[in-house]
Amino acid sequence: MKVLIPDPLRSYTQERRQVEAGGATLGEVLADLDRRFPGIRFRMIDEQDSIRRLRERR
Amino acid sequence: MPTKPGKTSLTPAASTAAVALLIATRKGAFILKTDQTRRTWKITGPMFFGHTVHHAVLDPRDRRTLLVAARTGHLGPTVYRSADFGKNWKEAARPPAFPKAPEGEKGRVVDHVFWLTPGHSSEPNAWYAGTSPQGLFRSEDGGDTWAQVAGFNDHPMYLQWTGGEQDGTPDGPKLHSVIVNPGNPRHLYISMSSGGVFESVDRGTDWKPLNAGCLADFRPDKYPEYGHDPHCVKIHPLDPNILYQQNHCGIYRMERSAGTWVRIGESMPKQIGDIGFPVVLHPRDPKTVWVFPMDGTSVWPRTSPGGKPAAYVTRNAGGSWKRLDAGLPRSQGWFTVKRQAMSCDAHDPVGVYFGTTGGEVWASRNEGAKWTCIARHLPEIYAVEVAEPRR
Repeated sequence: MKVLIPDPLRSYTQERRQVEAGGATLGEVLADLDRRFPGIRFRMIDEQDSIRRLRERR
Repeated sequence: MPTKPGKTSLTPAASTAAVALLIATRKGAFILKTDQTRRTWKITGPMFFGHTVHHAVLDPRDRRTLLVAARTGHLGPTVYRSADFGKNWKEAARPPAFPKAPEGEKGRVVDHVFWLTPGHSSEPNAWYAGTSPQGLFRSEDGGDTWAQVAGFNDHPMYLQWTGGEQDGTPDGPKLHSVIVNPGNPRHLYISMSSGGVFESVDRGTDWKPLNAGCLADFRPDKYPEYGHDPHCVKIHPLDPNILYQQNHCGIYRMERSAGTWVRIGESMPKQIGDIGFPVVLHPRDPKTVWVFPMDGTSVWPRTSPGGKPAAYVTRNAGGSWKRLDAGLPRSQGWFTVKRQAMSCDAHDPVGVYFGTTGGEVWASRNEGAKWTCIARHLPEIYAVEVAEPRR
């Protein structure tokens, strides 16, 4: 499927805004994304498998 | 003029290398470079623009490799590594992270990597990282992959020692001042805000508190076994028996063979006090130490007392202190200097450097006798580390 990549994560996708990844669940898609672009999952999902919360830093 | 430390046959020669300062800020990292004269400085950066960079450190074993602890508001913590002094960077393949908790249990999550320490000179690829919340991590491959030091992170006393996630600084509880005894790679120290100072003699398998003699005036028991708030702890590279500590409750010195902290800040002027964040040790003279006092009264403003910033130096292991304010603002100078934001080089005379939360970097080529502002308008400065990179 088509996955849109936001600005802060494009350093992992060689600046591509849109990439392909497969999977039947969000977890499988994230795992596939991480296979294609190592490290990208940990930027979104912490070590307890929770979605990282946005913490706005001024 | 600074007095010359007594030299012995074991005292290394003063450095004559070009100096660089690694500046870690809330919005990225910068490098300030000078030549051997240390008279003019050139800034490069920002690197990791928009990242909160807590620490940037040169590997003293090859004098080329840099490690940077970074995070953004969105993307969580990580570590970057450069093998060519900042020209190219690679993110750690496995950044510091706690193990996944068993199903149904709440697991710990690294909020940010706060502190980086190169391993012992006999372990060229070893690094340690301290995190918030308090965690100790080790890399065996130059910072590419990290694993927790389970002997500390899973110690049966971990919760009691750390006091839980609420018991820390306004920016989260931190594990910092990771120290490897230069004479023994198995001998480690860590410090925690809060938690206190701890020691391991078996490369991190087991730990013991090391806080005897240190005040914790915010606790019911003023001299507890643990639960203190060390701000910065250093070991002397030439005499590993000597430790210094800038604590929430004063400036301390310990002869490890004695095992008790002695409050050497009592000899500071009473109107200045002995509260602050960094402590900087002379590279060749274990009796010479710099601090940068902060106002620790009332609601803990943590700014230069009276709006008159000054460093203080002792040259007799804390017996007396001398004010060093030449070149600094005479009034309305409300500096805050964080625990990693002051350091020194190995020249003769020693160069001393500090960065402020207002984004200024100040340098002295003469051990604090005269200060010059060498950068301003930077983001909030978290760390200033000296690097003498190999040419």
